[in-house]
Amino acid sequence: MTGNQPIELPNTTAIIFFLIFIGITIGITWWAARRTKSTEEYFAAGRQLTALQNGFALAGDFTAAAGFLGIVGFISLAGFDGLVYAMSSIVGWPLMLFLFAGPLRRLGTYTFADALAFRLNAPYVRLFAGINSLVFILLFLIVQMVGAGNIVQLMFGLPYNIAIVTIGIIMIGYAFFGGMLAATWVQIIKGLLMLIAAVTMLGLALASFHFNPLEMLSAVAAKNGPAVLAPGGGFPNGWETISIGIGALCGLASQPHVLMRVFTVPDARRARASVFCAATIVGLFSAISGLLGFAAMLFVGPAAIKAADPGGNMALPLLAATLGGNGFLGFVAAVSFATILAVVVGLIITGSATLSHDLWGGFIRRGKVSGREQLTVARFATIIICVIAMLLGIAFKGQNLAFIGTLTIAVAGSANFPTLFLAIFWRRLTVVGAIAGMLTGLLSSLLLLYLSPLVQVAILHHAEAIIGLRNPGIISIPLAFLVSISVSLLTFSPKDAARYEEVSKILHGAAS
Amino acid sequence: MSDPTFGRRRSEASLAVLQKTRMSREHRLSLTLAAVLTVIWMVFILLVAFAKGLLATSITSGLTLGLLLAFIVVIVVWLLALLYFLVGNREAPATHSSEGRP
Repeated sequence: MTGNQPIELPNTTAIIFFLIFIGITIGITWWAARRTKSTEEYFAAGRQLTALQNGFALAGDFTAAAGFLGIVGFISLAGFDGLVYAMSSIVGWPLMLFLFAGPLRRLGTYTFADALAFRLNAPYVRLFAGINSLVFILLFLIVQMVGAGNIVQLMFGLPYNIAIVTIGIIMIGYAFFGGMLAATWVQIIKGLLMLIAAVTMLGLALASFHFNPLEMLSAVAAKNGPAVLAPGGGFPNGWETISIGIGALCGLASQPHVLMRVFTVPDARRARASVFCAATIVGLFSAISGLLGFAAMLFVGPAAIKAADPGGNMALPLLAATLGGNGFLGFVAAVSFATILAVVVGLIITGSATLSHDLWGGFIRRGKVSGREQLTVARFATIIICVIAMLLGIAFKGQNLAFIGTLTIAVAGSANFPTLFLAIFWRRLTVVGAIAGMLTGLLSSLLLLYLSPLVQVAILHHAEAIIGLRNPGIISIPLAFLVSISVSLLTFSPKDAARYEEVSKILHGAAS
Repeated sequence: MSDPTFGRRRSEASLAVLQKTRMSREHRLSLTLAAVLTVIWMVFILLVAFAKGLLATSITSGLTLGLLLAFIVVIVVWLLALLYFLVGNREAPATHSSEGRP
């Protein structure tokens, strides 16, 4: 055990760094608020972001608390299998680049539901795509709020409920006034801070190994046994591994708040460039996180990590304390909290766009809605979602929900990926087929999740679960494809193919 | 090519053909790269799931076959993304920069 240094929280450095972060981001929100007067500015940052800015924001949206704390923690406990999990997030980005980035930017205006409704020429598709988005956003918000509440409680010594309300008020401030522009800059700043923290920590960890990762890994193998560098430490069985692999691959490319960022750049060309930037940043960051996970295993040790938090979420803060002392721990804790805050703001803007643009403007008012009305509804929706987020955070207090973060991604993959893919690449997709596919993906993944040991045993405390599988992806994603394709073939009419021909001119950039 | 009208028509026609081939080429590139990526990833995942012993093979101190393959997969996948980015964005000329719906 090398990591015996006690960590001191609440920590003055953490509070100072955090207050500086809040100060800067409030300044940005004030600046963004003066430039946010239309729906285009509120939902899509005026479509004036550069590819690099958007790439950073995309990468930031992805590296939620689960990405930063979770991956390092998972690797520090499970070794190689944790690394495979980190890799699945790297591989999802190029897939989104190949399949969705360009076509979505060409078809949609603010949300992926736009793109689907336009492709199928059916406004009520928005209803189902909107429900998909809202379910995903609520699930994800629960995880983030509980995580944020815990960190704030730890950092500042505030009672949990007061921590949640404080976070909620800060978020309303960002999202209500600053819209997407503020959300993006909060992400960019946080992303840079996170890279600084990760690179510094890696440097500190590798300093005693002549900056040679292999030398560190052989020290890890010598201390924790060679098995940590081979598969078998993290996933219960082979099928579970495959299910996680499929779920992460498809799910990453279909999260509504990530897809929404495609619309913040001027054109499809820059949408592709920004997703490529994001792929590079996430790749780099995940590689560093991978090494940090092994460093935590070596310097802190799995026993001490588990003692602090059974889920491994404290691995990174513990590593920071061991390598850089309490000052550095404060910095890392502040960055982790900023991470959650930034992701939550993105989720809230996406939820608000779904409610006001897709459900209110597109579905209820059938597009006959002024920009001013939509903006008012959007700001109102922002407050509603923030309040719901606070209530959920309080309701799920004390639950260990970190695992749900990874499963929500599988839910997004099941509900959105098959339909989006078929909408863009298959001319025979029909409206009924699309809706059937979305509903099948959403309901089957949620049902499998409910029946799995994670809910039945861990939350409901039943003796055993009805289904042994923890990750729904291996069943729900193929099922959604199958249903969507079969229903489309049954309901196909030549009109549907004609619509695809019409749309494909825009889809592939051939229309002038 | 002496008749300007004819010339214009021909260029319009060839433009249409060009757009059609470009469109299908873009389409094909997307699907091909997505398929290559999926195959690489699924082979890797299957090895992780069912060939644990093989991946545990030690290459040098601190490096197993599994870690080496993981590194190669990440690099290859990133190169695929780079390829798509370079080819795809070269083929989309600036005239389409204002495309999409408002």
